[in-house]
Amino acid sequence: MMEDRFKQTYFEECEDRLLEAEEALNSLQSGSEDPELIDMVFRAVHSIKGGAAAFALEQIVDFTHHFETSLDYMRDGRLDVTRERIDLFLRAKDILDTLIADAKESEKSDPGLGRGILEALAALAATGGEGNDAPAADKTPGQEDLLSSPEGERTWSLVFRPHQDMLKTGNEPLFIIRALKTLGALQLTAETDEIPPFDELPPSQCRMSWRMVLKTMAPEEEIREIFEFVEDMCELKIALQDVPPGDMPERRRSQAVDKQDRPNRRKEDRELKDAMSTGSSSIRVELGRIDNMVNLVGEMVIAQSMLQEKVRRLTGEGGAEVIKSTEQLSRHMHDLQDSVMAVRAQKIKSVFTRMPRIIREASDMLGKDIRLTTFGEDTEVDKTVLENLVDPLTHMVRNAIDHGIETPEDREKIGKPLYGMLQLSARHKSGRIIIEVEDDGKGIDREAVMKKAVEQDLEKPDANLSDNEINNMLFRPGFSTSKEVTEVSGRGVGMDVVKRNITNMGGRISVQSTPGKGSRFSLSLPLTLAVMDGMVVAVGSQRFVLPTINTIESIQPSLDDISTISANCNVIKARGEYVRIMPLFDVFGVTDAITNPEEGLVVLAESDEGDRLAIMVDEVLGQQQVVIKSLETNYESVPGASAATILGDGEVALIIDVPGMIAMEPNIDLKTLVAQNRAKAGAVEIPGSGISEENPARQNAREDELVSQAEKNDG
Amino acid sequence: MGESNTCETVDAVGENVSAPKDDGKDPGSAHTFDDMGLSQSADADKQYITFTISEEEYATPILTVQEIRGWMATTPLPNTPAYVRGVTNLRGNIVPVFDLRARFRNELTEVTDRHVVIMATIRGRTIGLLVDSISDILTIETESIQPPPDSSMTVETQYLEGLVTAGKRMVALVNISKLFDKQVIGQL
Repeated sequence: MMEDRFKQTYFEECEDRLLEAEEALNSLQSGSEDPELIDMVFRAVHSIKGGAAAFALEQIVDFTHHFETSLDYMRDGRLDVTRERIDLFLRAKDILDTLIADAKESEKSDPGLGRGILEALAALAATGGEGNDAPAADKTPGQEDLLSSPEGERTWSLVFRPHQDMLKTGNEPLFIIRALKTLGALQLTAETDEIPPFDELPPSQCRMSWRMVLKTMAPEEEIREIFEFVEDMCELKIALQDVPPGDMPERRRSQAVDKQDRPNRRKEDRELKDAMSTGSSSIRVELGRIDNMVNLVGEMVIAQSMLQEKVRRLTGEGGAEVIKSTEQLSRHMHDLQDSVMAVRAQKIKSVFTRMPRIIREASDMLGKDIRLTTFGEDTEVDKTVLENLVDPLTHMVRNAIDHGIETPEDREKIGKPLYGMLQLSARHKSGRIIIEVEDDGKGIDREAVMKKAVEQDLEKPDANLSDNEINNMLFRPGFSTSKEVTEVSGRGVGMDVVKRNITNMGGRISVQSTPGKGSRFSLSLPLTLAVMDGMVVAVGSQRFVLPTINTIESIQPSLDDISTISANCNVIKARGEYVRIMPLFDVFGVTDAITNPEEGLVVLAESDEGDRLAIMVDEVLGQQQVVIKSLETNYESVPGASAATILGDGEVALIIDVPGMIAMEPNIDLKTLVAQNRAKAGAVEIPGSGISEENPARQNAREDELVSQAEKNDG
Repeated sequence: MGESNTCETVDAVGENVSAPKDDGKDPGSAHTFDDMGLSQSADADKQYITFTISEEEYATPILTVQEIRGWMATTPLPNTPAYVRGVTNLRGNIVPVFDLRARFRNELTEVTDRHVVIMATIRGRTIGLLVDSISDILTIETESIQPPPDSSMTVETQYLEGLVTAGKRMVALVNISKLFDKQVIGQL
């Protein structure tokens, strides 16, 4: 159990480290010469190796070991930083990603996985080992090629002095010594000077030290590895004994490596560890715990508003005080909710950093030259949104490279810089995050798009479409403009999938394009998938939530505005166009609702595609932020509802799925219904009236609405 | 750690915890069976909770039962069989509630304060089962379970796992996973 927890932490750390490594490699790839970067990659790989060894993840240990060696040579200058080598490192990092993901799922990785990369790394290490700087490389211990160690056995002298409390961390010197024995012949001398008389001996302290002479073929790296977990808890000296006689400079070199190079690195590692343990700037928390907290706070908000409703009815002096206190409580509660949601927020950087190599891969494949600039990397957004953003954004970037940016030859012909510019940006705007992918390529060829659309039977040849409508055709299912299917993008599944992903998150996508100048794809996404702004509407005794983003306005229709266009379909003229009416009472089978549109309201709603629908409800109760709850966790999806939420009184309300509802067929003729009801003698009470008496929640909600309306009018 | 003292653990949400005998008398409170430490007993998988609908008594394994609640308002769902009463709010989770009287006897339960909802967890999903009352907790040995009469095994009654006798009563063992049409709720 304990081990599982440590393992969990280890994998989480691995993910962070891999991200760091990737970021550093990307910077290197784009020409940065900061020597710190390669060091950073080295440290990342090194620490992954350390943990892997602890959990006996042999494949990872093996792989990182070779990876690390090459990196090590590069950072001390034995190997030059070249594009190809960094590329190799990036690919090695990918393999490592897979290995770790497999290990995390407790799956055995394919033993052949990354074999090619491993060999390439080994070859690279060999180059570094033999190196251009031959004399130093050849004879420096521990710096030579590990795979084909040509030299024979060497003798090392080791001093191992554990700190007194090393045992408390569960490290056992005996195991270390046994491990050393596996490397070769070991001669051991124990230093017992520090051991006090038996009756004063603290059993939990290690007072012994050892001097050792080890004869082994193994390189220094391997010896050090055994001390990997105790290096901070002991005094450790490792030196080569069998220096060729008379070759003093080399000996000095070997000592120099020991005293300066090694300790430096250890120190950096230690600093890093210190920063992690004492630096309280951040802690790692399991996502489940945060979600639990989010849920509980959501519950508290609901309980709070129930309390407030009850408190409101209190009278007298005491009552006023209680009301005041609960209002204060309510404000704190909303602050608390915001803070909790903020915990889940993450910087968009983690998605943006994945893009450089996607760009590189795609541009290499297509023979294009791309420069990337990013803005607003620190913009924060909910983790779930972030996770769901990776695929669409990847696709959009590939698309821009494949279809947007021209080849260098083409660019030269039209006098553009040889390299294409791709810009990724993120910013917050009115409670949403806006992400833009902009290129300076050829823009959307609207004629070609139109032609293709006609060919693919998506549009009639004589359709008179606006530029924007043609641009939006890119998002149609099955649409692809590329003349030949390329490997990078464009298999006919593409932007429509992007659009669906974005829409599913409650986002919108749009495109602007100037032929010859480039295109800009904009995404607008909610900051969190957990809450959204909704309009609470009443239909009979039930309440529903319409996503505010989908609503345009609410209209009080008169029967004259409504026409019947077919047996069961009514339309209403709103804002100059005829819009289908979808009565919610019919979709959800509510029997006590208003059926006469004149007595109710229609809410003009719009999908992301710009399709409109007039949704008929009894009345609008107000606007509020609602917590989105999946219906599918414990049940199934419900046609017409995208999810559910819990209202202030603890009751569940369905959230209307506007695009889904647009796809539904209306099934009732309101005009006939009204006529029938009238015919049934005017004496019959119209259902839906007189409800407010029984439902104080709704009455209050209505009051709230009036207040908010008033506030709006003031503003 | 934390395995031996489950009975001391109070539900994080602070439900009232009381003995099973009180069930039905105080439908407003919830009893979390985990809290009683029953799941820790070696025989837990032989223990069944029995509930009634009209005169009939049914049983379901106690390990599937998360808690018992009083009736809470449900939000109806469109285009569902009558036995789907809708969804309700169980501490922030949206949980469907099924009317077992409607399922077994084709008539809707007229809900009163005395009716209770069994919150059962099956394959990670939590569902509510509206029944008349909770009556007993039985320990049932596998050998004492009689198969249901062949003639009764129509598609409609596949949920019947067997019959047992408790005192003079006959108790029908219900397999909740097979209670509802896959069209209505899959993966139970």
